[in-house]
Amino acid sequence: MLRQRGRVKVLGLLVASLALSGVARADISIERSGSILVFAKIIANTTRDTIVQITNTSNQLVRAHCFYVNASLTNPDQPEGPLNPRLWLEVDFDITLTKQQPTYWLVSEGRDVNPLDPPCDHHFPACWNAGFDPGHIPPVVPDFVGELKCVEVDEGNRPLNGNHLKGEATLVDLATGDLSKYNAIAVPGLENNGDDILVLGGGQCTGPGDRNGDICGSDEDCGDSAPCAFEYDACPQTWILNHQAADAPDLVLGSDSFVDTELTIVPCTENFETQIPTSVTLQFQTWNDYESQFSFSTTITCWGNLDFADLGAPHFTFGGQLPDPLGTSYLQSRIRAAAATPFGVMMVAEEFRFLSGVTPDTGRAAAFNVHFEGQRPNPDIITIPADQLEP
Amino acid sequence: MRKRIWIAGVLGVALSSHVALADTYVSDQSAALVVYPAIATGLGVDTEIQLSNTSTQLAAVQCYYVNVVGRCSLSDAPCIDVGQIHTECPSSLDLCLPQWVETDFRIYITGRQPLAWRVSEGLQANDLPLDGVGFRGPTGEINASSRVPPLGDPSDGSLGAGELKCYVVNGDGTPSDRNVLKGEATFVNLAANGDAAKYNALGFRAIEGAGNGDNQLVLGGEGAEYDGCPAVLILNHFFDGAIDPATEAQAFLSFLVLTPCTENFVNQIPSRVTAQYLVFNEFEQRFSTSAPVDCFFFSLLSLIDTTDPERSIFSAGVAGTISGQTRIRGVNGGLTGIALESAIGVGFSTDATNLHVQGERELPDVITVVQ
Repeated sequence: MLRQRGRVKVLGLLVASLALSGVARADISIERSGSILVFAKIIANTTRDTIVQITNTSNQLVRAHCFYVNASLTNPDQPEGPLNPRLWLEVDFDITLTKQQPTYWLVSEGRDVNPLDPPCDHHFPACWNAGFDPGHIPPVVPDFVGELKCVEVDEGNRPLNGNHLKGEATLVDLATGDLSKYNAIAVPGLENNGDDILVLGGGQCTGPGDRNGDICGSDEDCGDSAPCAFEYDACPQTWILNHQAADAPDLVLGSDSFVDTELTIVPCTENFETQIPTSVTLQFQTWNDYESQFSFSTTITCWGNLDFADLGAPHFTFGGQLPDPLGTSYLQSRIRAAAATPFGVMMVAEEFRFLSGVTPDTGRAAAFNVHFEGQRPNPDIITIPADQLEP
Repeated sequence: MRKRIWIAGVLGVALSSHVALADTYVSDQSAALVVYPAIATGLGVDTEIQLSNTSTQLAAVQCYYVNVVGRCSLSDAPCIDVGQIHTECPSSLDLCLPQWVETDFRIYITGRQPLAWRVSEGLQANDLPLDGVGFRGPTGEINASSRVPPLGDPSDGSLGAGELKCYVVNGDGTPSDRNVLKGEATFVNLAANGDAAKYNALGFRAIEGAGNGDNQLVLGGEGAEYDGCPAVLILNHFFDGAIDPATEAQAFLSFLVLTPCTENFVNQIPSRVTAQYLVFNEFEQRFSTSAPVDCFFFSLLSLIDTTDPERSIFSAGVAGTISGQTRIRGVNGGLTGIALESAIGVGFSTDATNLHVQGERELPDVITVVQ
């Protein structure tokens, strides 16, 4: 009888573990909270500035360690190339949010810790920085383009998978006041050993043995050092973008208009310890609404902002489509990393509408998040300098 | 004892096969049901709909426009009385009577094909790319038999506002579990020189094999056939009237669009859900209010709880800070929605964002469709 009870108990545990194993992993998300936030497009120059909003969606205090990555060109007046690479300079800071607290800052100015900032009232709606200051947030350098990443950490500044952070970025045209907003990409976390190696789509072996601390994708990878503690969800395998052919007229605005699309891309794997930027070769497969298929590839290093009009690929342009009676304005592009550069990417898109004789040179912008499909089979790794994680 | 073990095993298999399923909708992955919570045409604005098939095979898609434009009681002219958008009826004796008019249509999207149309014009036979006459896809697939009507009546100035829902169907018209649709909506404001605001359609992923082929699409909960609606919608926003820190010369105004998840297109009875709002400022101070969502809700944030925006808990002057977090919970039903944020001062500009979600509703929501 005792042996039978034991068998039932074991079976119950097995059943429970089978049931739970189906819910362990989620995907990155633009509408759910996560433990890592990625703001792929941050701009602060004479033309545009960015307002970052981050909220703690939980009922407990939350901390985050954040990085600006400056991806400005070494010489901003020259095109990107081997002799004019992106800077890839990282600046880090910490923020603390009380329960359910929203916060914001303007990236060109940052945010000081000043409890004397006056609150808004009916006569004073410009109460910038009123509220609990999340920490001392440095301003970015002039002519900044790049990304912002925030990683949830515990009171000891060790990475923590609380999944409590959500964020948005609003790009503001300083001359026209035009607004363009996107949701930060949130990476959910599962288990975390709190070290300076953040594994997206994998984990680290936590058992005893020679392979303790090794990067792993499953318990089998660890052998005697199993189990594999899965840290963060994986970067997507494929990104899917609906977009217009560059310079195509807008459906609503008509023939006196044209639309351009920019795609901003950051690698999932980043090493802030060695400061060596990651290069990823991207493969594009594109279909128009006649199901004509085209392909293209390009490489981004550290950070990329691709304007479909300037890629040198005629099929991305309305003019390139036009002579072909099977070409038209709307395209679907599927984007993935090439096998030779097995790193994931994150991306955000932005459309610019120009109306002849009316809109300014900067156009009217509308940012939006890109769809994705599948999870990368190989892990991506974010390496944080260990001394940045000391309390 | 053997029977107990057997039951435990069957129960475990059943649990494990259902645990990974019902989640909440996504706006960044393909799905079998896509919802555009806000579309509009007229008064200088039009909406561009983009809908793509992410698979390599033809997708038959059944769609429903819900038009909430009303009709004047005497003149029968179209009118709008939704949130803060009001149009006048010809006569002072005319009242704008709200309506909830559903129009359904079928489209066929070939493999990997991106389709797009203006809500005010739709897609007629001669607009279809692969019409089957002049052009066919590489595998012979065509869009023929597709038709997208305009949202509003062109003879009435094409005034239209409401939502769009599309779901994949099988050859016999029953709901399919193929998660192959993705979409975006772009509001283009001709009156504001082409200002545009874009959001992703909400994707309710079908649970493979869970559909029973009837005319009730079950979202979440017991017997879920698709992802459910969330327990809470979360909106990060600037309080109304707050001055933009970037230009220091324009004020923010935020608008919220909410629609009930449960809808009955057979009985044409609009749903009513009570939305509870919890509002947090940057001092972690909390305010609350509630308001009904009758079929379609569109409001300036600072007019949700009061008729005087300056006295609203959503105004910067009352909240005391620039930014806030609002958590929205549907009491007697699920809700979907998007947010629109405008800046007035330097010029006029609007952007659109998808709301964040948290948690899953325990009870299902049901969309009853015409079959």
